[in-house]
Amino acid sequence: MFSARQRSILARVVFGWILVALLWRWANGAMLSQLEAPVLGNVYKDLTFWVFELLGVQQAITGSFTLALVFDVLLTSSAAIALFAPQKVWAARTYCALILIYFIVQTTYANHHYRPIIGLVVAGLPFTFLSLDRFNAMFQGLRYYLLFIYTSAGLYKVFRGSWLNMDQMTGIIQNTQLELFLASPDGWHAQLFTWLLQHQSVSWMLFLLATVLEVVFIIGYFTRRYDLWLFITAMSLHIGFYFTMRFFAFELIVLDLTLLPWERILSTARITKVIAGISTGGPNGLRGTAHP
Amino acid sequence: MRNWWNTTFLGRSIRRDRWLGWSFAAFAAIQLAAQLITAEVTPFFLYGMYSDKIHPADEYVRVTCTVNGSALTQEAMPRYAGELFFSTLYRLEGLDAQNYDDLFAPFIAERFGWLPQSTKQELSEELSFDPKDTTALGQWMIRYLGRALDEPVEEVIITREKYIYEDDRPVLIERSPLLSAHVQR
Repeated sequence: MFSARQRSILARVVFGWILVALLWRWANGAMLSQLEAPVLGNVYKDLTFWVFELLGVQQAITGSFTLALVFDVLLTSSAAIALFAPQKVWAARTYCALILIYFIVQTTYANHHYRPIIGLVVAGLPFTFLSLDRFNAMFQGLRYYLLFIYTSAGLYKVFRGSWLNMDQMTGIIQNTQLELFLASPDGWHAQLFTWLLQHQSVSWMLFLLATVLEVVFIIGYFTRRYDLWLFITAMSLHIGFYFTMRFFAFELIVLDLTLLPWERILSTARITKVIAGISTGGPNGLRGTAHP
Repeated sequence: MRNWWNTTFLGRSIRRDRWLGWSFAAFAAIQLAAQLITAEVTPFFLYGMYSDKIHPADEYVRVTCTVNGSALTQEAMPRYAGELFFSTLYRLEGLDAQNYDDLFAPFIAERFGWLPQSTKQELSEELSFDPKDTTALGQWMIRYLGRALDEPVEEVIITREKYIYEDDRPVLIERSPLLSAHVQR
């Protein structure tokens, strides 16, 4: 069970991560006010996206620069308020509602269903509760959701048979790294991919290893004893995905943090006092409460 | 059995906080159902990336972009802007290759066959890209690249290229124009 003080430190960690991710998006021109009223989108086979499209939400927000800018500023400032004043649950609630809308609108015009951003969509949910019981339950729920993400990704590969497909990685590399082969064929990454294409059994084994490492997360449903190992596994997968697919899921890592032994980390009283003291402007910090 | 259930996360959650516990149970049930019928309805996602069997293809399509006469690559753009812009180009290429028959009509026929024909038609038209908007798309490219590259863009030319792999290296076999846009004053 987390205390109120530990809750505010966790809020700081999670919303700090979220804020960095949002600022990165601002710097990269990925906020809604920076999309320049896009024309071609894709609502995929996702019925929620369809409803938004039929109601004209995507077009209404991106079609008006002022509205889009107000939206972006509200989204970013709600994350910032939740970071600096974790007791203000309305900020976390506002963030959660706005990030869901951002996800749908941005993903529509990004024209690819980018999964890692889901980390930003769900990571703020525990902080929408001031009740410590509900916060604790929701934080645990988030951990189970993370386990589901990895486990289901692995099981899909098993049930669909791709884990036994010897040329799976060859097909993936040829398709996704075409641009790299043409742009910088002599770079180390292109050389690595060429080597993997020449050694198909090695690249297949890497795919098989990734599948096994994903399925391994099923252990987390039965015990929390191996959570730290699962966290290391998750980091290994992220590093592996970068080297073998040039894909780095920064936004998803915020959910991996739920696997860390936070009770032990935060029980170091000095760390807790220092961080909570800085944020609340005094030694008492956020008053603990078990009620919303 | 009951003792076992009470030790699970869901069992404990329902016992301690009926509202939150049943919310978790409902979410888990819908999430599992979504997996079984392979329906993705936000916030119930499927995480099956690269799980379909993928084999090397006979040829691969690349979409290139020339801005004011110079080649632009995704790498030369900020990460998210590059992903958004080039994914849009690949979506356009896919639509063009299908004669602008978007993905929705077959999906609606498969999953919503019970709807009246007029409703299916209307739904498909509402969700699909209208080829008449291609000129507006070209103007958006000029605006978006102008902002992303922080320089005035006068002309954007999009080209489709086809490649085959020979000795593990891509070789160009065909090039055809896809779209060209000039700034409108």
